[in-house]
Amino acid sequence: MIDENLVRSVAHLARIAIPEARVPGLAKELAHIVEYVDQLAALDVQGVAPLTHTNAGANVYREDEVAPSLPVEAVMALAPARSGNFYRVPKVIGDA
Amino acid sequence: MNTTNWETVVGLEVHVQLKTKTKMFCGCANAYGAPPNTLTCPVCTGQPGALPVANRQAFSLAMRFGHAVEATIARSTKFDRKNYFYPDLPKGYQISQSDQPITSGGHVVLESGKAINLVRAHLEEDAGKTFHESPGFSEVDLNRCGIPLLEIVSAPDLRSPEEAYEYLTRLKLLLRHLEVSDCDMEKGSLRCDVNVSVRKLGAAQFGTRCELKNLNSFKSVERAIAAEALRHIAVIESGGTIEAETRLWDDEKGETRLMRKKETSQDYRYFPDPDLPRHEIAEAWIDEVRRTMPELPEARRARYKRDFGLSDYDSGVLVQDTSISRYFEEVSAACGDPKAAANWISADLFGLMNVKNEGLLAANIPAGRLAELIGLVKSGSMNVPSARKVLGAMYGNGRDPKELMNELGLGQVSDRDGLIEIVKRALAANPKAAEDMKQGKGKAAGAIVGFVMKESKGRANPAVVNEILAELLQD
Repeated sequence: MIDENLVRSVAHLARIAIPEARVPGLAKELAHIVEYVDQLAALDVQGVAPLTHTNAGANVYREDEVAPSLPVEAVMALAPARSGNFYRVPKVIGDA
Repeated sequence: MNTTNWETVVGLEVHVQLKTKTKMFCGCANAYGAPPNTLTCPVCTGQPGALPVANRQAFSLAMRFGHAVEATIARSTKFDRKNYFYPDLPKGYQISQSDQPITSGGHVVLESGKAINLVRAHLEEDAGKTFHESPGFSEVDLNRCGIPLLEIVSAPDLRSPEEAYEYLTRLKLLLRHLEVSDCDMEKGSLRCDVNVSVRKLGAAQFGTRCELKNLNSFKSVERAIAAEALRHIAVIESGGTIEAETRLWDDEKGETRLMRKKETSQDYRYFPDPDLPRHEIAEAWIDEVRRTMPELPEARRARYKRDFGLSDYDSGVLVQDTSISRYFEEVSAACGDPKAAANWISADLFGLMNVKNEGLLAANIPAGRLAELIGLVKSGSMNVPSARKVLGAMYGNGRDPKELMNELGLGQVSDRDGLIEIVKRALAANPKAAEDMKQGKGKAAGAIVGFVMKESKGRANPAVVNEILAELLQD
């Protein structure tokens, strides 16, 4: 069931700020999408293995051989903010 | 507080970094201690469009562990995305395995014979490291990001802090022996989360459990479990209820404190990673890993006791690490005396290594050299105290023990003419002891031999001294 609380919680998980006024509308829209996909539930899938990948291949490996890493300057050039050769980020203390 | 009617129930989640050359999904080196952000690439920093490719050796190592604990190895498996936001995880998800772990089941057996069952072990990638020392902002190093991890989950089969400690010790020994992981907690290559609950003895249901974090040593795991179990008992006995929560261990204060409630715990929204095709693992690969397994520590220890007559202690110490076992076997083969080799390594060499807090590599004494040193003692060229001095001089440079013995003037004096003079003086200086010996009181020899040793600065060959003494007293 998609309700307003679920919309708020999914938005939080995705770190998307949603104005409270939009929550009821989004709940309805998301519910419609899920309902649409739910039509699949009518199919009899007994004996059909779950499809986890749409690419047919399997068993792609690399050998355990070191390849050059990027120069630290090239990496740091991509960083929005740096502190020496560290990425500088807003203060975070807590757990993942 | 009466704790006798209570039982502690513990399950452990252990993360170990796999001993591969490269990361789990890219060719960056799996190395500790490199300057920040020098071991990263588009894959492990999560650049758009970069594609991960699984490290074959990481699979082999995970299977090696699986064989050792008699787990079932998956014939078909995949990777999933575990989604969460944290600055040490640039992609916004960790590649892990949710419902199809590489190994399922298995067990680790404690000294008592009790088997601790494993639920599963799965492959995943490590996150980067965050530093919080600077005021106002945090700093991130992504070198660790993408290092292969094996997460080993035990069943809630542990019943005391001591059992948890022993389980960890055995798991570490096994993983090191298998060369699957270094298991060095200080360097973060082994990390451990603990689930603790208590229940009345005989109760069928488990109590509500709390997860403990911030455990930096096996000792702190043991202490944290003991403290947490006591907290649970106190709360329940005073009429309260335990809530499912994550708690941080404070090693200095010796107590746990609330970090977060479990009901607000994360929803990781796992789904199969579309960038990584499935893995169908061939029976032939599983067999090949089995065939090339190193000997397991318990089997090796039993062999040392049976074939070499080593003590419990020596055999235990020598199987701590494959490199140590290998070294011991080389020294033993070269000197032909496993017991002497075990003694010299476990007592003397380890003693020196412990003082300097160094490993075999830094000690730098080739097995052949240590065997020569043992040979010099066995042939009577040098006594044991002198040999210890020579070993100290060999430490770190691996020089020839015979050369050092001569240089340091530590060779044993077996020269009869020289020793006869000293023995005569010893008899003259200890007339009472000499008389007692003539009367057949063997104990009196101690004083005489002691005198000779002192005179010869410990270098007299005791066997020759005793011979001379017997001859002189007969006359």
